[in-house]
Amino acid sequence: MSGVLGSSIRRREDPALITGSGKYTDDFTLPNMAVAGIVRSPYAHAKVVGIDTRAAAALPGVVAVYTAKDVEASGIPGTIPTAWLLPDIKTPEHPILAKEFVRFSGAAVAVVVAEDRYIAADAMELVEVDYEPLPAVTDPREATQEGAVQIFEEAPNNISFDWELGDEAKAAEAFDHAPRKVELRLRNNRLIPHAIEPRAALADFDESSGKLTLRLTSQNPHVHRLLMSLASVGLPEHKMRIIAPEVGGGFGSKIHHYADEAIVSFCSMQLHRPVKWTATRSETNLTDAHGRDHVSIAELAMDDEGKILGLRATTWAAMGAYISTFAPAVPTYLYGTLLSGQYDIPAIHIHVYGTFTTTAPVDAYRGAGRPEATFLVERLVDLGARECGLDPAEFRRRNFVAPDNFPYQTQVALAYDSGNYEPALDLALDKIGYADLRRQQAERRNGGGKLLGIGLASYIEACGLAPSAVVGSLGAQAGLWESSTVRVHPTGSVTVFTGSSTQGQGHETTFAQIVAEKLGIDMDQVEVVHGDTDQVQFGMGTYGSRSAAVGGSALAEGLDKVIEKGRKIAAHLLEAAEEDVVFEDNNFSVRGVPDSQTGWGDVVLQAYLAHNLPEGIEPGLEFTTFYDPSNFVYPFGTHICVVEIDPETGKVEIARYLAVDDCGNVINPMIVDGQIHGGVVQGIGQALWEECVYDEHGQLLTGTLLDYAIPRAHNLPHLELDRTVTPCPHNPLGVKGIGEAGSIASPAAVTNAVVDALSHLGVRHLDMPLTPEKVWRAIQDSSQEGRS
Amino acid sequence: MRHQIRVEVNGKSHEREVEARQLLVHFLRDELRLTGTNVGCETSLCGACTVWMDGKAVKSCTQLAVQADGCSVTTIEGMKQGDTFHPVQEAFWECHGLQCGYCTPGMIMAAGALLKENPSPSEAEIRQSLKGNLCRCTGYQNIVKAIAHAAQGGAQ
Amino acid sequence: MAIHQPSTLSEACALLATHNRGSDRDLAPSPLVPIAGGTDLYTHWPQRPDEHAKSYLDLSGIEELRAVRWRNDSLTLGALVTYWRLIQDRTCWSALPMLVQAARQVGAVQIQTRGTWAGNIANASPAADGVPVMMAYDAVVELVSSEGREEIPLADFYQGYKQMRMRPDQLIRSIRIPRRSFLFQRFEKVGSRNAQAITKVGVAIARSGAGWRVVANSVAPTVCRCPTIEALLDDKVTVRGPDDLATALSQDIAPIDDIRSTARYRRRVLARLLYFALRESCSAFE
Repeated sequence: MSGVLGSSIRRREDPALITGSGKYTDDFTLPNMAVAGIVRSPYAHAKVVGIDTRAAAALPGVVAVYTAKDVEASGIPGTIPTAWLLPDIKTPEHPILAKEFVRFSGAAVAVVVAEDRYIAADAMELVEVDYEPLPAVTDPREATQEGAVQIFEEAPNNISFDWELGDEAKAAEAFDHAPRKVELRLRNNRLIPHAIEPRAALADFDESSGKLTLRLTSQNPHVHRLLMSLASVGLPEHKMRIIAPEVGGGFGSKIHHYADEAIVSFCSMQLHRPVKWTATRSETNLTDAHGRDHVSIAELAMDDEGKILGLRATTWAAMGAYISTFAPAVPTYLYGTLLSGQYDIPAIHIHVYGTFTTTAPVDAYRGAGRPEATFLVERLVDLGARECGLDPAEFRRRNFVAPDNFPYQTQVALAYDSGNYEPALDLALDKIGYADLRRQQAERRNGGGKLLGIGLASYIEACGLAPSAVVGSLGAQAGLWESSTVRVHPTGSVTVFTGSSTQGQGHETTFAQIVAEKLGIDMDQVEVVHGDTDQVQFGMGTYGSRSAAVGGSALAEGLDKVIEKGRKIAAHLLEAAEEDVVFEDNNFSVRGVPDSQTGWGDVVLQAYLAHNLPEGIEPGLEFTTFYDPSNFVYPFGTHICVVEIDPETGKVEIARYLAVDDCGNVINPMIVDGQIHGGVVQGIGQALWEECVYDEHGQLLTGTLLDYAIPRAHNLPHLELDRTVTPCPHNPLGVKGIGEAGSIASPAAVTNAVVDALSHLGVRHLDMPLTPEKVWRAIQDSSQEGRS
Repeated sequence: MRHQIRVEVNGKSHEREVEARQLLVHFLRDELRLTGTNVGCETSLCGACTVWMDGKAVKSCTQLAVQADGCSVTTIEGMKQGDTFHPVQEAFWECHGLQCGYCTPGMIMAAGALLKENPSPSEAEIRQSLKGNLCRCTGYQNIVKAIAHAAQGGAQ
Repeated sequence: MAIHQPSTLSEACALLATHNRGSDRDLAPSPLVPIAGGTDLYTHWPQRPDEHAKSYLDLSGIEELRAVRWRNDSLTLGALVTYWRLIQDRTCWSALPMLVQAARQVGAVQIQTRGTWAGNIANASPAADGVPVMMAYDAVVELVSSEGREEIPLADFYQGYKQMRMRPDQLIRSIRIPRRSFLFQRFEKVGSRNAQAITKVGVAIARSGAGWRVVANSVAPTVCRCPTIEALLDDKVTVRGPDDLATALSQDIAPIDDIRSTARYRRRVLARLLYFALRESCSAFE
């Protein structure tokens, strides 16, 4: 059906989900299934002196209790690997169940398998673990200082890696001669992802076939299978099937390989019966890989006209107690490479220390490195504008990469393929009524009452991960292509198998739109299969805003192959030259000979009948494609946030939020808008409310939704959206990613707005989250300074 | 200690012997296998487990199964009548009020309860009514839109 | 775990007399924990085997405790009356509006439909949202046991953190709130979110013929009246700004630092909340 691409078609996923018939991992109950409960360390750092499981094992209804000793005795590898390595990185062994030490509160120490969840909870209380507590360290910079407790012998000063990018000497020179400079010290707050579905795993080992079937809350079942086969469970890949059923949100947290799925697999392999584990919210908060947690010192150098001359920064990025799956990539290749923002910056240098802390591991969370980079750049840009006495919009405009300067080679490795930044800025300024808002702001400052602040964030995102050769050279232990199989059935309907795996992004709809558009068939004739390693060829999964750009491209190329073969068969049937056969509106016809045509159904049927195929053409109509992109894709845009602040309580209200984004061609506008809404709101959460806090003993103080405030409907504004369209020049659909853009732009836009509201009081910077108390204190402190 | 209870769920009467400590949500999910009602937290904050009990929205994680003895419970599975979606279900579909779908059953039950009390709520009233339901995907924008849409469509 | 589900109050009292009486409570066979809405108890429920080992007295089947009685001079709430019930009660909107305001602050609708006013009192949290308004309205708690009934003003009910003037064999039967004509009443709360954040600071203020009542939560081991502030208001002492109130407040409250807030912020915010709430109605406020 032409015109399907670009239409807001309602989602085919939804009838199951709105009736409660969609099945998430915990919804499955298998015959003879037992339930696992994982006993976790209450200490952030301790020596495990002994574990007594006897009382737990003796409780009626308990099937088994296992510790690290049992894992070792079984002979499985039993470790959690890291899939992205940097030069000289330290990746100490991460056992699935703790051996001699525990290194974060929540680390798995033992597992209880019982007949039901209540008995498992009873038994967990009876497992007696003797700990010798050790000091904790939770701050990524303090961890590197003298006197900090050493978490691993092989990592002196708790440094896992020490990474640099850019030209340090060139940057130093730019700073030495710059007439204007600003410095910023910031903390990018640690976040807990909070997919509403807690992680879960249901392992079913079949003794007779020796095959393990694992239902898992996974964003990338093939990657999970690979990592589990290599490092944790040790079964060969053909003896493992991983299924990601409905997955209730991921935002990065379900990319990584956690101990828990290996532990339940181990249990099932030991017991030869299905074993299910479902995290509680508290458990998932303790153990999900967290996001962000940077401490940075950053500087910007400018000339007197407000042209940026250089940018440099040092960042201490928490890795937590172990190096999680893709963790090393996040504060390096997804962060340092983004520090040019939308700007033409002649000299950049970034130095990153990835440090161990006695906390949950930190890994990719929506945006992964790019929100941190955007926050740092956009805060610096606002401070730079103020230093130069320029309006922040004007300052940005003066420094944008010019439209005729693409492709643009940054000083931090990335080459932007395309972009046109000023129209997005202008559209945003116009829609928000920028000049008028500035007038209102001035009036309010004179008149008292609530303070008004306006914040901009002009972001760039490198996503659609990614050219495999490039990421390989950067440390990835996998290629980052994507795959598709297009299977045309003899009667003309189509099943496509994609290596992308959805957690709510709507692949089943958007991928069907691509098929329907390209083949000219009805969407009802298309089935999209994903998330099952036994059904789908190897695929890399969904993260890094890559599904449309890489998975969609793999599908588009596969469809081209189908059409190509169809044309060959049609040419043979029509006795025409292949180059004269065109495929349009689901029909093969000979150019210039209107009567000479054959329908899609005929050609497909012939492909399977194989009674009369051209020479050299195999029967059937099915292609598997592995698409490796030639570059990242580079979405961009400008977001503007308007806040009102009550000076009496420090309470920040978002009065307006406008997002102008450019994600290239749009497959389904409704779904794209939904992605932006969700991303923006997660970023607003980071800016105003969310913060993962550990105390000095490494205890998680924000372990429940009571203490960790994720956004709710009633404290959010109605978001205003618009877009510009600059298609990606290097992929077949001209699409770019949009899943993370919102969360990349909004923390900076909101923070810039709040600081802007307080700027006349002398406030230069506030760290997120901008809680009423923090804002109130800043107002108090500034007015006290004013008085003295 | 086990207790005999009789609960009407989605119009069908169920008699079961349950453990005193079993939560209603586990009774629905584990005993009756009605897995549409989800669990997202254990502090009665996320609202994914919202059901109607005697017509009122409650969190089924904040209630023991024994306390539902003699009550009538409606879950998400009871909302569709024959082939016809409840207007709130239809509106969630139409307005893209869901992404991953995990919070959706609770959202639909909360929204349905709101519209029973207040058939034409303002945007602010809709947003207030959702303060006990968390969504991490949609930013709530299309959920609010869907509820307003259902209200305009004359949801009962 | 055992759960008793009596259908009458006398049955409930008899069970408590059997299980919860005795000079040494530890010697009682297994003391019963009364539950009404249970909204606090069920937090983290599946992971709390210690709680599963206890015995409970489920009051929810006692119909006589569900009554809401309006009289000319008072409102009486049975122990099972929920927040939702009063949110739906139009008389309450006009007669005792702070009850409705506070009820709306308690969690979300799904919790308002389960949580009870009596449960809010008996749970004895210093951060309770319902208690300050009841206390500002001079509510009286009616306790019953198999030995008889007793009435205690809510303002005298708490003796320390989670300490109540209530024996283990007693139950809250009802809460009586006098109806008065009020010259001023206001319930204010600052939290990091409007709802479902455990209160950071909340204050209920009422002025009637009985004088001023100022009640704060989250600033002391119990929800408490602020007698110094009340006296200052009754005496019409001139107040020039929030700082004047902060001085008086420091005699009434003892806030703590915790994950949700610091003592300093709580004290200052409470002083400001009070000042700006009162400025509208007090001529003594400049």
